[in-house]
Amino acid sequence: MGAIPLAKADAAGPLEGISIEALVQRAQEGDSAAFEVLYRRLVGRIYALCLRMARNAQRAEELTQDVFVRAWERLGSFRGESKFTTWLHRLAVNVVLQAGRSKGRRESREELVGDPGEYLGRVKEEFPGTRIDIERAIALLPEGARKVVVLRDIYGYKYEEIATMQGVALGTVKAQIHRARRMLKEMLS
Amino acid sequence: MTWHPDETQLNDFLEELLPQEDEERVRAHVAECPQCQDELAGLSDLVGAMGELPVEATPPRDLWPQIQWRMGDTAAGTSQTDQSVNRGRRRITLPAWQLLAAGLLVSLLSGGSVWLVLNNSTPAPSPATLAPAGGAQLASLPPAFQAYGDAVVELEAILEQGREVLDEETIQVLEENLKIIDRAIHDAQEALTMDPASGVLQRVLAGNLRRKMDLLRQAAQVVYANS
Repeated sequence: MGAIPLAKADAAGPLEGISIEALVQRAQEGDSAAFEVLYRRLVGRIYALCLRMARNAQRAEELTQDVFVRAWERLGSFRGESKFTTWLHRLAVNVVLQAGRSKGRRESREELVGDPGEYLGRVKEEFPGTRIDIERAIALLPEGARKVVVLRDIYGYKYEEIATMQGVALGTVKAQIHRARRMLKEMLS
Repeated sequence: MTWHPDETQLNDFLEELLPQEDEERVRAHVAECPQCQDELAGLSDLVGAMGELPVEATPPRDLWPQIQWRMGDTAAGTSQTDQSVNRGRRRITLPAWQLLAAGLLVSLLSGGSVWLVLNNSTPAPSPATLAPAGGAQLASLPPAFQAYGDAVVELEAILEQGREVLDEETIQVLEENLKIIDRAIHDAQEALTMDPASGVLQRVLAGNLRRKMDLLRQAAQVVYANS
């Protein structure tokens, strides 16, 4: 994963050149400065995920904050069995999916979701060089289909992983992804 | 040709997830079926294109201050007591242009919303304060908006804790702006009680709650940055 430019390079200070593993270790000992450097290196990937999954820039910012706060709270449970970036990304997916389930219980909150036009404006700014035709088609997918196809085809999660994170059967996930691809092909043709 | 692989089989073939026997069958069929060749090529192009979309984006603003707030401000080597003392000693003022811009923006946005929310003549709510008093008003929000109400209450509490680092002029402008937004929220709520199904009114209410949250969040970040 490439590092994003540090918005506050001075805040990183002497920690800037330290490896992610070493930063995680320091953060696990309560060093919030080390955690800030982790945030600055990894926020781009987490925010991008949240933006595509939520399809709403303001909600993506809230979810990104939730992810890093949750990560800070759960750092003790990270044992280094996988890469920290993988652990954090998976945590982010769980936070986003959990938020979606809560939203489902308050169905009329759907009113608060921004329209695709507004979202695509942000995509143009924040994903320079992306293929807007594909981003638009993805944004127009139904929420369930959009989330699984983003996880599978953009972020490379396995079907089994998505099924576990969603708490649904493998066949359900495959059917959703195949349906999403069919809809995308139709929209793009 | 009587048999064609179905959608699931074509997807699984593309991703090499078919059992060997089925894979050979699909492969042999595709080699001779232009229709399935086209289908498979389209699918492959789509999946390939999605795999090349960028996976990083830069947030439009720095989210760290809010995250650090929520982490409990546990900077290494700094006790809570020390931080409280430091907070009490510092007072900061927002730049005049920022105050002016915030005031104008809030007036324009909220004023437009108020105009939209019917031409009712309900009395204005009690003046907004930085204290959680505004939260009491939000307690009567429809359930769909309660999450926003909760966030507003939380931000108001944060801001109230940091009130002592803001100067009087800043507090006054914030309170005036919050009062305008609160009035618009109040009007939208009133109108929604008469027409609960109105999508326009729901959007007006959501927009004003969001504006209030944004304003409080910005103020809380200023407080944090100077604490």
